[in-house]
Amino acid sequence: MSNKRVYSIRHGESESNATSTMLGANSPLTDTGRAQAENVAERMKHVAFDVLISSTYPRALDTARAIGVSTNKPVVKSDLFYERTWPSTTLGLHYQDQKKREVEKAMFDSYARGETEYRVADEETYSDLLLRAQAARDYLESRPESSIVVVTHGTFLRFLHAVLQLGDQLTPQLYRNLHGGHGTYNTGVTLYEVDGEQAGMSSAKWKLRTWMDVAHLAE
Amino acid sequence: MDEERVEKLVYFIRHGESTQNFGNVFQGPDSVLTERGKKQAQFVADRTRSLGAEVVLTSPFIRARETAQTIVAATHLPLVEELLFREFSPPTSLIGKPRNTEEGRNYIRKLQANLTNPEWRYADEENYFDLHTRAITALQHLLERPEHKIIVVTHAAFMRALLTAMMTEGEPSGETMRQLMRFIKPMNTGITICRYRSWAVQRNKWRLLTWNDHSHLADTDLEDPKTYDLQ
Repeated sequence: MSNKRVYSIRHGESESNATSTMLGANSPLTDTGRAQAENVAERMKHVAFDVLISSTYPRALDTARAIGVSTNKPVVKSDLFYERTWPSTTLGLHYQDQKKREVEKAMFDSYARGETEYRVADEETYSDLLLRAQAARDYLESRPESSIVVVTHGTFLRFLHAVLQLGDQLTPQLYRNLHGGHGTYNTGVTLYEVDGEQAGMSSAKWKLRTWMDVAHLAE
Repeated sequence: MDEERVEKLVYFIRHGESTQNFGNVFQGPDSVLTERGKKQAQFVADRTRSLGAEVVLTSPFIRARETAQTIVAATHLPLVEELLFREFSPPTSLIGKPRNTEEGRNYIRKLQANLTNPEWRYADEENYFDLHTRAITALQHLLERPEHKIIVVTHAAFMRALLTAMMTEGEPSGETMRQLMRFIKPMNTGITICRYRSWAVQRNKWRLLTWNDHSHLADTDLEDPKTYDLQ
Protein backbone atom coordinates (compact mmCIF):
# COMPACT_ATOMS: atom_id res chain seq x y z
CA MET A 1 0.00 0.00 0.00
CA SER A 2 1.31 3.41 -0.82
CA ASN A 3 1.48 6.42 1.47
CA LYS A 4 -1.59 8.47 2.13
CA ARG A 5 -1.48 12.17 2.89
CA VAL A 6 -3.86 14.21 4.98
CA TYR A 7 -3.99 18.02 4.79
CA SER A 8 -5.66 19.39 7.84
CA ILE A 9 -6.78 23.02 7.53
CA ARG A 10 -8.02 25.28 10.28
CA HIS A 11 -11.02 27.48 9.36
CA GLY A 12 -10.61 31.19 8.56
CA GLU A 13 -11.01 33.91 11.16
CA SER A 14 -14.39 33.72 12.91
CA GLU A 15 -16.35 36.37 14.81
CA SER A 16 -15.26 34.53 17.92
CA ASN A 17 -11.57 34.83 16.95
CA ALA A 18 -11.93 38.48 15.93
CA THR A 19 -13.66 39.58 19.12
CA SER A 20 -11.94 37.15 21.54
CA THR A 21 -15.38 36.01 22.68
CA MET A 22 -16.82 32.56 23.30
CA LEU A 23 -19.48 32.43 20.56
CA GLY A 24 -19.88 28.67 20.24
CA ALA A 25 -20.63 26.45 17.28
CA ASN A 26 -22.33 29.00 15.05
CA SER A 27 -19.82 31.84 15.09
CA PRO A 28 -19.50 32.77 11.38
CA LEU A 29 -16.45 33.79 9.34
CA THR A 30 -15.56 37.48 9.33
CA ASP A 31 -14.68 39.32 6.10
CA THR A 32 -11.04 38.64 6.92
CA GLY A 33 -11.88 34.98 7.46
CA ARG A 34 -13.58 34.78 4.07
CA ALA A 35 -10.53 36.39 2.42
CA GLN A 36 -8.26 33.88 4.17
CA ALA A 37 -10.51 31.07 2.94
CA GLU A 38 -10.18 32.41 -0.61
CA ASN A 39 -6.39 32.48 -0.24
CA VAL A 40 -6.12 28.93 1.00
CA ALA A 41 -8.63 27.85 -1.66
CA GLU A 42 -6.40 29.36 -4.33
CA ARG A 43 -3.42 27.52 -2.87
CA MET A 44 -5.18 24.17 -2.74
CA LYS A 45 -5.74 24.36 -6.50
CA HIS A 46 -2.08 23.37 -6.80
CA VAL A 47 -2.36 20.39 -4.47
CA ALA A 48 -3.63 17.04 -5.75
CA PHE A 49 -6.32 15.66 -3.46
CA ASP A 50 -9.26 13.29 -3.84
CA VAL A 51 -11.76 14.22 -1.17
CA LEU A 52 -12.69 17.33 0.83
CA ILE A 53 -14.07 16.69 4.32
CA SER A 54 -15.32 19.34 6.74
CA SER A 55 -16.52 19.83 10.28
CA THR A 56 -20.22 20.69 10.39
CA TYR A 57 -19.68 24.11 12.04
CA PRO A 58 -20.44 27.06 9.70
CA ARG A 59 -16.95 28.63 9.96
CA ALA A 60 -15.36 25.35 8.83
CA LEU A 61 -18.02 24.56 6.24
CA ASP A 62 -17.69 28.00 4.64
CA THR A 63 -13.91 27.61 4.52
CA ALA A 64 -14.34 24.16 2.96
CA ARG A 65 -16.89 25.48 0.46
CA ALA A 66 -14.37 28.08 -0.77
CA ILE A 67 -11.88 25.26 -1.35
CA GLY A 68 -14.63 23.21 -3.00
CA VAL A 69 -15.40 26.03 -5.42
CA SER A 70 -11.76 26.59 -6.44
CA THR A 71 -11.04 22.88 -6.84
CA ASN A 72 -14.43 21.77 -8.13
CA LYS A 73 -14.99 19.26 -5.34
CA PRO A 74 -18.07 18.54 -3.21
CA VAL A 75 -17.78 19.04 0.53
CA VAL A 76 -18.27 15.88 2.56
CA LYS A 77 -19.58 16.73 6.04
CA SER A 78 -18.40 14.70 8.98
CA ASP A 79 -19.51 15.04 12.57
CA LEU A 80 -16.12 13.87 13.86
CA PHE A 81 -14.23 17.13 13.35
CA TYR A 82 -16.23 19.82 15.20
CA GLU A 83 -14.52 21.99 17.80
CA ARG A 84 -14.01 20.76 21.35
CA THR A 85 -17.08 21.87 23.26
CA TRP A 86 -16.95 24.22 26.26
CA PRO A 87 -19.34 24.48 29.18
CA SER A 88 -22.38 26.32 27.84
CA THR A 89 -22.08 28.62 30.86
CA THR A 90 -19.08 30.28 29.14
CA LEU A 91 -21.08 31.27 26.03
CA GLY A 92 -20.78 34.98 25.33
CA LEU A 93 -17.84 35.53 27.69
CA HIS A 94 -14.69 37.36 26.63
CA TYR A 95 -11.61 35.09 26.48
CA GLN A 96 -10.08 37.10 29.32
CA ASP A 97 -13.25 37.12 31.42
CA GLN A 98 -12.43 35.86 34.88
CA LYS A 99 -15.13 33.20 34.82
CA LYS A 100 -13.91 31.86 31.48
CA ARG A 101 -10.34 31.82 32.74
CA GLU A 102 -11.35 29.95 35.88
CA VAL A 103 -13.11 27.29 33.81
CA GLU A 104 -10.08 26.98 31.56
CA LYS A 105 -7.75 26.69 34.53
CA ALA A 106 -9.97 24.02 36.11
CA MET A 107 -9.89 22.00 32.88
CA PHE A 108 -6.13 22.24 32.42
CA ASP A 109 -5.46 21.59 36.12
CA SER A 110 -7.49 18.38 35.83
CA TYR A 111 -5.24 17.29 32.94
CA ALA A 112 -2.19 18.10 35.06
CA ARG A 113 -3.59 15.74 37.73
CA GLY A 114 -4.05 13.06 35.08
CA GLU A 115 -7.86 13.02 35.35
CA THR A 116 -9.74 11.80 32.30
CA GLU A 117 -13.36 12.16 33.46
CA TYR A 118 -13.29 15.66 34.98
CA ARG A 119 -16.13 17.90 33.89
CA VAL A 120 -16.92 21.51 34.85
CA ALA A 121 -20.43 21.37 33.41
CA ASP A 122 -21.72 20.03 30.09
CA GLU A 123 -18.48 20.13 28.03
CA GLU A 124 -16.60 17.19 26.53
CA THR A 125 -14.26 15.47 28.97
CA TYR A 126 -10.75 14.34 28.14
CA SER A 127 -12.16 10.82 27.62
CA ASP A 128 -14.85 12.12 25.27
CA LEU A 129 -12.24 13.98 23.24
CA LEU A 130 -9.94 11.00 23.16
CA LEU A 131 -12.67 8.73 21.81
CA ARG A 132 -13.66 11.28 19.17
CA ALA A 133 -10.06 11.90 18.08
CA GLN A 134 -9.42 8.16 17.84
CA ALA A 135 -12.59 7.77 15.78
CA ALA A 136 -11.45 10.65 13.53
CA ARG A 137 -8.06 8.99 13.07
CA ASP A 138 -9.64 5.62 12.26
CA TYR A 139 -12.04 7.29 9.84
CA LEU A 140 -9.18 9.02 8.00
CA GLU A 141 -7.22 5.76 7.86
CA SER A 142 -10.20 3.86 6.51
CA ARG A 143 -10.99 6.33 3.74
CA PRO A 144 -9.95 4.77 0.43
CA GLU A 145 -8.56 8.00 -1.07
CA SER A 146 -4.79 8.57 -1.08
CA SER A 147 -4.98 12.34 -0.54
CA ILE A 148 -7.48 13.88 1.86
CA VAL A 149 -8.26 17.46 2.89
CA VAL A 150 -10.08 17.98 6.18
CA VAL A 151 -11.22 21.38 7.45
CA THR A 152 -11.38 21.53 11.22
CA HIS A 153 -10.65 23.62 14.34
CA GLY A 154 -7.69 24.76 16.42
CA THR A 155 -8.28 22.86 19.64
CA PHE A 156 -9.69 19.69 18.14
CA LEU A 157 -6.81 19.57 15.66
CA ARG A 158 -4.34 19.79 18.54
CA PHE A 159 -6.09 16.93 20.32
CA LEU A 160 -6.08 14.83 17.15
CA HIS A 161 -2.43 15.81 16.63
CA ALA A 162 -1.59 14.59 20.15
CA VAL A 163 -3.30 11.25 19.43
CA LEU A 164 -1.51 10.87 16.10
CA GLN A 165 1.77 11.79 17.73
CA LEU A 166 1.71 9.64 20.85
CA GLY A 167 -0.97 6.99 20.32
CA ASP A 168 -1.31 4.80 23.38
CA GLN A 169 1.34 6.79 25.24
CA LEU A 170 -0.85 9.89 25.37
CA THR A 171 -1.79 10.99 28.89
CA PRO A 172 -3.77 14.04 30.05
CA GLN A 173 -0.49 15.54 31.30
CA LEU A 174 1.21 15.12 27.93
CA TYR A 175 -1.87 16.44 26.14
CA ARG A 176 -1.77 19.55 28.33
CA ASN A 177 1.82 20.21 27.23
CA LEU A 178 1.28 19.36 23.59
CA HIS A 179 -1.75 21.67 23.47
CA GLY A 180 0.19 24.50 25.07
CA GLY A 181 3.24 23.84 22.92
CA HIS A 182 1.50 24.25 19.57
CA GLY A 183 0.26 27.50 18.06
CA THR A 184 -2.47 27.60 15.40
CA TYR A 185 -3.29 30.05 12.63
CA ASN A 186 -6.53 30.61 10.76
CA THR A 187 -6.27 28.62 7.51
CA GLY A 188 -2.89 27.18 8.53
CA VAL A 189 -2.23 23.97 6.59
CA THR A 190 -0.88 20.94 8.45
CA LEU A 191 0.28 17.94 6.44
CA TYR A 192 0.56 14.35 7.64
CA GLU A 193 1.83 11.31 5.84
CA VAL A 194 0.27 7.98 6.71
CA ASP A 195 2.38 4.93 6.03
CA GLY A 196 0.14 2.30 4.48
CA GLU A 197 2.77 -0.38 5.14
CA GLN A 198 2.24 -0.02 8.85
CA ALA A 199 -1.54 -0.17 8.86
CA GLY A 200 -2.79 -1.56 12.14
CA MET A 201 0.05 -0.17 14.21
CA SER A 202 -1.77 2.96 15.25
CA SER A 203 0.30 6.13 15.60
CA ALA A 204 3.66 4.75 14.43
CA LYS A 205 2.44 5.12 10.88
CA TRP A 206 1.48 8.81 11.09
CA LYS A 207 4.18 11.36 10.45
CA LEU A 208 4.05 15.14 10.55
CA ARG A 209 5.38 16.79 7.44
CA THR A 210 4.32 20.41 8.01
CA TRP A 211 2.62 22.23 10.88
CA MET A 212 0.61 25.40 10.15
CA ASP A 213 2.04 26.50 6.84
CA VAL A 214 0.54 29.91 6.05
CA ALA A 215 2.64 30.93 3.04
CA HIS A 216 -0.66 31.73 1.23
CA LEU A 217 -1.21 34.57 3.71
CA ALA A 218 2.11 36.30 2.98
CA GLU A 219 1.64 40.08 2.65
CA MET B 1 5.48 46.74 29.36
CA ASP B 2 6.94 44.72 32.18
CA GLU B 3 10.68 44.89 31.60
CA GLU B 4 11.23 41.38 32.91
CA ARG B 5 9.25 39.91 30.05
CA VAL B 6 11.41 37.99 27.59
CA GLU B 7 10.21 37.11 24.11
CA LYS B 8 12.28 35.27 21.50
CA LEU B 9 11.40 34.26 17.99
CA VAL B 10 13.67 31.55 16.65
CA TYR B 11 13.82 30.39 13.05
CA PHE B 12 15.35 26.92 13.00
CA ILE B 13 16.56 25.93 9.55
CA ARG B 14 17.73 22.46 8.61
CA HIS B 15 20.83 22.39 6.38
CA GLY B 16 20.52 21.65 2.65
CA GLU B 17 20.86 18.18 1.19
CA SER B 18 24.24 16.65 2.02
CA THR B 19 26.36 13.94 0.46
CA GLN B 20 25.34 11.57 3.26
CA ASN B 21 21.59 12.27 3.14
CA PHE B 22 21.37 9.16 0.98
CA GLY B 23 21.33 5.44 1.68
CA ASN B 24 20.10 5.99 5.23
CA VAL B 25 23.63 6.12 6.67
CA PHE B 26 24.79 7.26 10.10
CA GLN B 27 26.13 10.71 9.38
CA GLY B 28 29.23 12.33 10.83
CA PRO B 29 30.35 15.97 10.90
CA ASP B 30 32.23 16.03 7.60
CA SER B 31 29.70 15.51 4.82
CA VAL B 32 29.23 18.52 2.52
CA LEU B 33 26.28 20.01 0.63
CA THR B 34 25.44 18.47 -2.75
CA GLU B 35 24.79 20.75 -5.75
CA ARG B 36 21.11 20.37 -4.98
CA GLY B 37 21.74 21.21 -1.32
CA LYS B 38 23.57 24.39 -2.36
CA LYS B 39 20.58 25.44 -4.47
CA GLN B 40 18.19 24.74 -1.59
CA ALA B 41 20.41 26.85 0.66
CA GLN B 42 20.24 29.69 -1.84
CA PHE B 43 16.44 29.57 -1.90
CA VAL B 44 16.11 29.56 1.86
CA ALA B 45 18.76 32.31 2.12
CA ASP B 46 16.69 34.56 -0.17
CA ARG B 47 13.72 33.95 2.07
CA THR B 48 15.56 34.80 5.30
CA ARG B 49 16.22 38.35 4.09
CA SER B 50 12.74 39.46 5.15
CA LEU B 51 12.68 37.80 8.58
CA GLY B 52 14.27 40.65 10.51
CA ALA B 53 16.66 38.30 12.32
CA GLU B 54 19.64 39.74 14.19
CA VAL B 55 22.09 36.85 14.17
CA VAL B 56 22.74 33.47 12.58
CA LEU B 57 23.85 30.67 14.89
CA THR B 58 25.06 27.49 13.25
CA SER B 59 26.16 24.01 14.05
CA PRO B 60 29.85 23.76 13.09
CA PHE B 61 29.20 20.63 11.01
CA ILE B 62 30.16 21.41 7.41
CA ARG B 63 26.71 20.90 5.85
CA ALA B 64 25.19 23.32 8.36
CA ARG B 65 28.02 25.83 8.15
CA GLU B 66 27.80 25.93 4.35
CA THR B 67 24.04 26.56 4.60
CA ALA B 68 24.60 29.28 7.22
CA GLN B 69 27.28 30.96 5.12
CA THR B 70 24.82 31.17 2.22
CA ILE B 71 22.29 32.82 4.56
CA VAL B 72 24.92 35.26 5.82
CA ALA B 73 25.91 36.18 2.27
CA ALA B 74 22.25 37.13 1.63
CA THR B 75 21.50 38.83 4.95
CA HIS B 76 24.90 40.25 6.05
CA LEU B 77 24.11 39.10 9.58
CA PRO B 78 26.80 38.10 12.08
CA LEU B 79 27.55 34.37 12.10
CA VAL B 80 28.31 32.47 15.29
CA GLU B 81 29.27 28.79 15.40
CA GLU B 82 27.72 26.94 18.35
CA LEU B 83 28.70 23.35 19.04
CA LEU B 84 25.46 23.05 21.04
CA PHE B 85 23.47 22.87 17.79
CA ARG B 86 25.48 20.00 16.28
CA GLU B 87 23.77 16.84 15.11
CA PHE B 88 23.19 13.79 17.29
CA SER B 89 26.43 11.79 17.51
CA PRO B 90 26.00 8.14 16.52
CA PRO B 91 28.54 5.50 17.58
CA THR B 92 31.79 6.49 15.88
CA SER B 93 32.25 2.99 14.54
CA LEU B 94 29.00 3.33 12.54
CA ILE B 95 29.62 6.72 10.91
CA GLY B 96 29.29 6.50 7.16
CA LYS B 97 27.66 3.07 7.34
CA PRO B 98 24.04 2.32 6.35
CA ARG B 99 21.53 1.64 9.11
CA ASN B 100 20.47 -1.44 7.24
CA THR B 101 23.58 -3.52 7.94
CA GLU B 102 23.95 -6.17 10.59
CA GLU B 103 25.94 -3.80 12.78
CA GLY B 104 23.47 -0.94 12.26
CA ARG B 105 20.47 -3.13 13.00
CA ASN B 106 22.17 -4.53 16.05
CA TYR B 107 22.72 -1.02 17.44
CA ILE B 108 19.10 0.01 16.82
CA ARG B 109 17.77 -3.21 18.36
CA LYS B 110 19.81 -2.69 21.51
CA LEU B 111 18.84 0.97 21.62
CA GLN B 112 15.14 0.03 21.55
CA ALA B 113 15.62 -2.53 24.31
CA ASN B 114 17.29 0.06 26.53
CA LEU B 115 15.05 3.07 25.94
CA THR B 116 14.17 3.47 29.59
CA ASN B 117 17.76 3.35 30.85
CA PRO B 118 19.50 6.74 30.86
CA GLU B 119 22.84 5.06 31.62
CA TRP B 120 22.83 2.70 28.66
CA ARG B 121 25.06 3.36 25.67
CA TYR B 122 26.09 1.11 22.80
CA ALA B 123 29.50 2.73 22.56
CA ASP B 124 30.46 6.40 22.49
CA GLU B 125 27.20 7.81 21.05
CA GLU B 126 24.65 10.21 22.56
CA ASN B 127 21.57 8.41 23.88
CA TYR B 128 18.09 9.99 24.04
CA PHE B 129 18.74 11.35 27.51
CA ASP B 130 22.04 12.96 26.45
CA LEU B 131 20.27 14.51 23.49
CA HIS B 132 17.43 15.76 25.69
CA THR B 133 19.89 17.31 28.16
CA ARG B 134 21.73 19.05 25.34
CA ALA B 135 18.44 20.30 23.90
CA ILE B 136 17.46 21.82 27.27
CA THR B 137 20.88 23.49 27.48
CA ALA B 138 20.55 24.82 23.94
CA LEU B 139 17.09 26.32 24.65
CA GLN B 140 18.44 27.97 27.80
CA HIS B 141 21.36 29.33 25.78
CA LEU B 142 18.96 30.90 23.27
CA LEU B 143 17.23 32.73 26.13
CA GLU B 144 20.54 34.11 27.32
CA ARG B 145 21.46 35.50 23.89
CA PRO B 146 20.87 39.26 23.68
CA GLU B 147 19.04 39.06 20.32
CA HIS B 148 15.26 38.69 20.02
CA LYS B 149 15.05 37.20 16.53
CA ILE B 150 17.51 34.43 15.90
CA ILE B 151 18.22 32.09 12.99
CA VAL B 152 19.65 28.71 13.98
CA VAL B 153 21.02 26.38 11.32
CA THR B 154 20.90 22.85 12.67
CA HIS B 155 20.08 19.22 11.93
CA ALA B 156 17.13 16.85 11.63
CA ALA B 157 17.57 14.75 14.77
CA PHE B 158 18.69 17.59 17.01
CA MET B 159 15.85 19.79 15.77
CA ARG B 160 13.40 17.11 16.85
CA ALA B 161 15.12 16.81 20.22
CA LEU B 162 14.65 20.58 20.66
CA LEU B 163 10.94 20.31 19.86
CA THR B 164 10.53 17.36 22.21
CA ALA B 165 12.12 19.38 25.00
CA MET B 166 9.78 22.33 24.27
CA MET B 167 6.69 20.14 24.12
CA THR B 168 7.25 18.13 27.27
CA GLU B 169 8.66 20.84 29.58
CA GLY B 170 9.78 18.13 31.93
CA GLU B 171 11.35 14.71 32.01
CA PRO B 172 9.80 12.66 29.23
CA SER B 173 10.28 8.90 29.22
CA GLY B 174 12.66 7.42 26.64
CA GLU B 175 9.67 5.92 24.83
CA THR B 176 7.86 9.25 24.66
CA MET B 177 10.97 10.96 23.34
CA ARG B 178 11.45 8.31 20.72
CA GLN B 179 7.80 8.43 19.66
CA LEU B 180 7.81 12.24 19.40
CA MET B 181 11.02 12.19 17.39
CA ARG B 182 9.75 9.52 15.02
CA PHE B 183 6.52 11.44 14.41
CA ILE B 184 8.06 14.60 13.00
CA LYS B 185 9.47 14.41 9.52
CA PRO B 186 12.12 16.95 8.63
CA MET B 187 13.11 18.28 5.25
CA ASN B 188 16.24 19.93 3.91
CA THR B 189 16.09 23.73 4.48
CA GLY B 190 12.61 23.50 6.03
CA ILE B 191 11.97 26.50 8.34
CA THR B 192 10.57 25.85 11.81
CA ILE B 193 9.41 28.83 13.84
CA CYS B 194 9.29 28.74 17.62
CA ARG B 195 8.40 31.48 20.07
CA TYR B 196 9.33 31.82 23.72
CA ARG B 197 7.33 33.97 26.12
CA SER B 198 8.54 34.14 29.68
CA TRP B 199 5.14 35.24 30.94
CA ALA B 200 3.22 32.24 29.59
CA VAL B 201 1.82 30.45 32.62
CA GLN B 202 -1.12 28.34 31.49
CA ARG B 203 0.66 27.39 28.28
CA ASN B 204 4.16 26.22 27.52
CA LYS B 205 6.70 29.01 27.40
CA TRP B 206 8.12 27.63 24.16
CA ARG B 207 5.57 27.19 21.44
CA LEU B 208 5.85 25.67 17.98
CA LEU B 209 4.30 28.08 15.48
CA THR B 210 5.30 26.43 12.21
CA TRP B 211 7.05 23.14 11.47
CA ASN B 212 9.00 22.66 8.30
CA ASP B 213 7.69 25.41 6.04
CA HIS B 214 9.43 24.81 2.74
CA SER B 215 7.25 26.87 0.44
CA HIS B 216 10.47 28.54 -0.83
CA LEU B 217 11.12 25.27 -2.69
CA ALA B 218 7.71 25.31 -4.39
CA ASP B 219 7.89 25.36 -8.19
CA THR B 220 11.51 24.18 -8.10
CA ASP B 221 12.79 20.66 -8.59
CA LEU B 222 14.29 20.72 -5.10
CA GLU B 223 11.42 19.25 -3.13
CA ASP B 224 11.47 15.62 -2.23
CA PRO B 225 9.13 14.05 -3.09
CA LYS B 226 7.55 16.94 -4.92
CA THR B 227 4.01 15.62 -5.14
CA TYR B 228 3.60 15.59 -1.37
CA ASP B 229 4.23 19.20 -0.85
CA LEU B 230 2.27 22.37 -0.57
CA GLN B 231 2.84 24.77 -3.40
